[in-house]
Amino acid sequence: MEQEQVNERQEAVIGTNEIIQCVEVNKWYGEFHVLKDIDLNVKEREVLVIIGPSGSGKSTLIRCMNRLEEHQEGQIIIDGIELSNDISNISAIRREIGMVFQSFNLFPHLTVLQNVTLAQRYVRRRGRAEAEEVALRLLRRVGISEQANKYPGQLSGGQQQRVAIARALAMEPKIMLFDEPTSALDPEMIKEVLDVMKELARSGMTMVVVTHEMGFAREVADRVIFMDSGRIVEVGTPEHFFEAPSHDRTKLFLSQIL
Amino acid sequence: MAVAEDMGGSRPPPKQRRRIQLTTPGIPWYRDILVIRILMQVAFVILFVGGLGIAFLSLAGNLQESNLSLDFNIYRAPFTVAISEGPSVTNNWIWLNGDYDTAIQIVYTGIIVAILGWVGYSSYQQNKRDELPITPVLIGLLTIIFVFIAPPNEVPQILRDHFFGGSMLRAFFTGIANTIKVVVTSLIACTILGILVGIGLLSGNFLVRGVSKVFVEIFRNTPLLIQLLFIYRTMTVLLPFPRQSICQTDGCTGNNLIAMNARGLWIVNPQSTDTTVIFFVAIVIAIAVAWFVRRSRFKLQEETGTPPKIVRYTLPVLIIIPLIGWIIASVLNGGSVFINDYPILPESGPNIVGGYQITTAFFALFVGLTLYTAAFIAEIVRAGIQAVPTGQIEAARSQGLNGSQVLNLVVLPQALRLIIPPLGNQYVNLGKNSSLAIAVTYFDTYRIAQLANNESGQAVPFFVGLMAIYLVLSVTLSYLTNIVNSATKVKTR
Amino acid sequence: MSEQPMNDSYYVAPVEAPASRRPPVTATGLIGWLKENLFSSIFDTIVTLVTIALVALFLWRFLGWAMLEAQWEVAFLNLRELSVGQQFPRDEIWRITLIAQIIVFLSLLSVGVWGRLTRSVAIVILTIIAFAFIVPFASRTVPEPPIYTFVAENYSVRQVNFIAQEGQEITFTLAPLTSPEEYALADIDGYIEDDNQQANTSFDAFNTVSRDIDRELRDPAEFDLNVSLQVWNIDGLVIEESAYSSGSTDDIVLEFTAPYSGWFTYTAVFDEENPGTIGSAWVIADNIDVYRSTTGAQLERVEEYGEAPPLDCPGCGTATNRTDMRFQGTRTVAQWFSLQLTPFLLETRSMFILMVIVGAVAYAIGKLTTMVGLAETPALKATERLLLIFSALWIVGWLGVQVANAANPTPAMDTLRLFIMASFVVTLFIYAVLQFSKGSPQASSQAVTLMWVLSFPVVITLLTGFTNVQPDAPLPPIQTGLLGGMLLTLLLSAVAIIASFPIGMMLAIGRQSELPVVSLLCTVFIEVLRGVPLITLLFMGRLILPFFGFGLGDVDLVIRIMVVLTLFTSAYLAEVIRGGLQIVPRGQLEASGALGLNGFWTTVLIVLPQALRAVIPAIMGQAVSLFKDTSLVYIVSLFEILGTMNQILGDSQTGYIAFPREGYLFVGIVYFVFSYIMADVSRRIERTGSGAVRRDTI
Repeated sequence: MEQEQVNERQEAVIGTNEIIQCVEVNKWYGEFHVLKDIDLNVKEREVLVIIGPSGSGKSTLIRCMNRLEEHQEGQIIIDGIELSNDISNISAIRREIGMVFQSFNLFPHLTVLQNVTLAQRYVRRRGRAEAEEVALRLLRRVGISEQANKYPGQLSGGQQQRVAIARALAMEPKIMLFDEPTSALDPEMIKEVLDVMKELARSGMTMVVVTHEMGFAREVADRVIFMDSGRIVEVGTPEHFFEAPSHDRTKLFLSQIL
Repeated sequence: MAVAEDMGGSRPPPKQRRRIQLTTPGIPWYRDILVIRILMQVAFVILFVGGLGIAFLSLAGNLQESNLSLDFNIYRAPFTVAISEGPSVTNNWIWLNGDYDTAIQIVYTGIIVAILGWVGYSSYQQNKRDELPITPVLIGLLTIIFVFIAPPNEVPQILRDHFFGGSMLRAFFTGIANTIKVVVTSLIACTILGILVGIGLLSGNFLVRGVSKVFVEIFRNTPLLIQLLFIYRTMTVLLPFPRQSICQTDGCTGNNLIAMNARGLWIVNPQSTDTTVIFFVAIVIAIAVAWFVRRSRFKLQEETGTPPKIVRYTLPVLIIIPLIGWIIASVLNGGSVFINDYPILPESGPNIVGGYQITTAFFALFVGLTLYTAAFIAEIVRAGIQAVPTGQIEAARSQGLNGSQVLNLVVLPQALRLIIPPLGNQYVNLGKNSSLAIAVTYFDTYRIAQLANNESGQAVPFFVGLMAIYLVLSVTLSYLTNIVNSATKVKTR
Repeated sequence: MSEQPMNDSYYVAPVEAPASRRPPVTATGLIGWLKENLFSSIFDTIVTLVTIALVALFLWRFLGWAMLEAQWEVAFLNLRELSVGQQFPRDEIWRITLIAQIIVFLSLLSVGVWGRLTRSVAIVILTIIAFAFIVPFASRTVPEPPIYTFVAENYSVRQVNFIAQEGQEITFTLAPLTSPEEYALADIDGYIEDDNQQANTSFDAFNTVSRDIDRELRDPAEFDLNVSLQVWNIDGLVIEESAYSSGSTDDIVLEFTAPYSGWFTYTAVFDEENPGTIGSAWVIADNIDVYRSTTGAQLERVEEYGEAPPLDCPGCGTATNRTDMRFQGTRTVAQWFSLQLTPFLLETRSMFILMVIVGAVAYAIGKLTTMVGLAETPALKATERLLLIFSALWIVGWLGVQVANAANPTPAMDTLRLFIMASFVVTLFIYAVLQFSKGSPQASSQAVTLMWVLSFPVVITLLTGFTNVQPDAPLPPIQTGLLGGMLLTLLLSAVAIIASFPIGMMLAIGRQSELPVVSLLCTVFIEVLRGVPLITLLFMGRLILPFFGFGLGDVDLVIRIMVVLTLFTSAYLAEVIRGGLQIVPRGQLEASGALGLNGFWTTVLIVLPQALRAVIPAIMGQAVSLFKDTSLVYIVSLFEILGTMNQILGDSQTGYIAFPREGYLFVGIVYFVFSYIMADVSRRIERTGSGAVRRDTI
């Protein structure tokens, strides 16, 4: 196990291939301008952390990346496929991207195991036995294989979020999106989820994480983006970002939360 | 390290967004979500309209084979069954005489202009809110088509052709009037009874609570039809024949205030005289004055905090002014404001004459609808009041409000918001349930339609008419509830 | 305590806590309860006393009427008609009984597997059973009320058939009426023959004479009739005879001891040569057993004692049926038990007990499967697979026979179909039993579901029968037009709620659709159906639907009404289900979309299961409402239970027309019991939270 992690860490070198490209992305809710000229590239195996005050458009941005929201201007290209009204593109992209939500969004009427196997069986078209094997492996990876036959309502928040991560991983995505995965958790449960995410980052997964966990950002992120009022205000490495922020807005934000 | 130079930079969304986009350029149509959506809707419309069309054509063909028709002119046929309840079917309306043609044309044109004016206004309003004015435009189009079918100069003749004394349409008119009569009376009664029982369900008194609960369970869990039949047949079994009527004078031959037999209940019917109008004017004045007094009292409370004590100030006004009107009217008319039409059982004759008759059928229907609907309303009231969190009551009490103030100022305004929407549903149900009048032989719309069908055998036009009438009734009732609902919403915020 | 330092700002509780005390007596127990719930203030006390007075008055009047005056025979003697309708073939009633037992079995099995019965249910059932045995037993000691038949100079004398047991003593009295007071019916507590079927009954004759006496056209003291009482055996031979009255106004008494058990006839005969010219008398028969006769009891009687004796004077025949007799006077409470409740209990008791036994067995099986279980072995698995293959074969065979039968119907086909049907059911039944024997909750759950599904074809086959190609084929067909009574009520409700489910679901999903046209059309369909009263739609079903083509013109009214009820219910169900769809959080859809599930699978796998589970209570409520609404079909002349009751009340051959209150009240009580149980079950489901998300299973 120790050896494996080391190997994985060695593998986790940022590639040169730009797997997510956002070009001049604009989005409006009615007359309200949510995303303003977003230009953003994410490379393979990169961990990108987006921070910013609430209402700054962070969540909207990553929800646009797998078409949970529709953008109105600009281009989003995932792994060479453009997100547009083309339905086969949308389903192809969603298969590439896993997503973890703030409120877990586990399916309450299914057991943990069924939650993890469901999409494998109906989207990846795997047999039940194979899907269950994958599911159990992933549940073991996030450390809750013994809860496989429980219902989500019987688990703690941290456990639920780990199941959600396993569920997303089961689709073998190239990219994982995290939409404030720890905001709904009690403080003592945040760590168990962050640990899983750190392990995932070490294994070389491309990750886009919206979070308020500055410690996590500092430790894991390859790049940090600060957004405010729908704009990208500052982009940089975590060291630079946290120690010497340039923009006034960033300074103000950091002074308030740290 | 990249840093954005400036902040803000919001701009309005691109204008071409407002143009309806049918396809996305650069994608094959079979993979384009927009195209697929449109295709699916078109397919659905074709399926739906096609299905309806086939059914309709098949219906028309089969009807023709059976020598029946879809002809709505059947409403102009004479209706020969005697209807003993509601506005007379057979008398001719005076305003249909040739003398009033111009007046009818003016009223008709006025209505059309009013509708078109409304269409224009609400289209403008909706357009301003960026909505497509579909409903107003549709109504406008229908109105214009209607004007082509019935242009103003022909309307008096069209009305004469359809609404002559004894026509089917006149029978339906009477039926609708009867339906409205029973719906409005039971609506008022069931609301009062329902609220009382609903409060009873929450009473601290075990017995009151138990009795209310039993009432609600019994009337909610048995079909209305059985209740109606039970009430009606019980009345006809227990009440005496007309010649043995129950009334206050011996043998019923005197001036009775009230008389009763198996056919109905008769009460004295005051007829207006030349001076009655003075009394009515006095009542109107009293209400207006009371309203002003009430307003000024509230204003005083706003300004100085004096308790308004509405009842103490308005009640005398409401009693004294009508009393003065009554005295003036009776003095001018030589002692009586009304001439009473008493129910009397003649020495020979089948039944009581005179007075105002409440038929057994109407009474049974009224009682049945009231009890049944009240049971549902009671449940709604209970649920609404119970849904107000106890924290609200505790907070109100901690502010020093007393029991009735807590109820009136805190609990009821919040409960009303929860009570009114389901209450509206119950009113709509009441309107629909009134069609069960047929079980008690009350001449409501449905019964008239069935009689008309028995006479002519033309089921389809009458069925369409029935559907239209009841839809309008349901929509009207829910519209009225919506008005009340939005009014309470504004009040409680 | 004293050693603790005490001052204003510092306090430490003593080491030993004070012992808990009981609350003051006035706060607990009966007095406390009364004080809090009934007499908490003066106003409250007044309200309580007024309510007590009103409730007592109502109960006194109502129970007084219900037990002493009401004629419940209108319901109790027509139970068979009320359950299956007047036209249902008698020989096929066992099929309905069987269906009822199947449903009871499956229901209790489900309860055993999925839930549990509360003690109160058991207590209620045991009480009913005890009651059903004690009342008929105790009521044997209640004397039968006498029967009055009328004798007058111009009125031919009735012959009444009756059954007596060997050694039974019966007293017949001829009592001349000699004063105006004796013409008051108020003195009579017994039965008078008053059969609407016959123009001239004892009651009519009595009325004619008493009217003449009222108008002083006749002197009641005059009596010179020459009558004697006779008892005949089944062959019409006189076996006992009293002396002739010879104009004397003394009572004549005839004591009769039955020489054997069986039919007898009693009558009064005039002396042929000297019948007398004026006067009237009652013939009073005491302790005579012809009245405890439901339809079923009469048939049993004929079976036991043979056909009743023929009546040899034309027009004077009097059937032994209780419906020909009218009770005059005031019953005692004991008589209410013996004369009205007992026939009802005797008629329903055996059926009820059978149901309780079947239910108890099913419940026990259901509970047992959750406790013990066999290990899953390869042999078991192989057997299961084999059984499934067999059932598939049976289905194929069934379809084959159906096709062959359509082409060339022969008697052999019916037998073959019955055989296949039975084999299919037995095969899957064994499969279900195997599932049960595993003892795992999931397997049992599946097995119960399977058995419910399985009961469908069985019930439908039992109900409709096979097409008749040979006269005495097993399960002859029953035309839907023959169905009636409670059977039709339940059938209409069940068909409508089940058939409307998929339609309602599609309408709900359609109305929620993002596609505006689909949403609009579904909304219009739903709102139009919800905006009009059900009877307008029934009107359409009866008069217009036949003209729509699609074979609707040829089908029976029952089927057309089923179509209408299904459409009607689907609109309401759509709104209920839409409520469920709306409470499924958006996040669920997003998560499902993010996983790559398309719209169809998202709806089927994620949204519907959650939505439906949330609206189970509301659906039950809809079922109750539909169940009540089925009573409206009587307006389009289908004879469900209310329609049947109306038929019974309107039958000119019986005197029931005078008792609509009893009839409607009985039907109302039946409806109430069913609706209340359904509503209660739904409330329980709501309370246990099974409607929401499952939390504590497994």
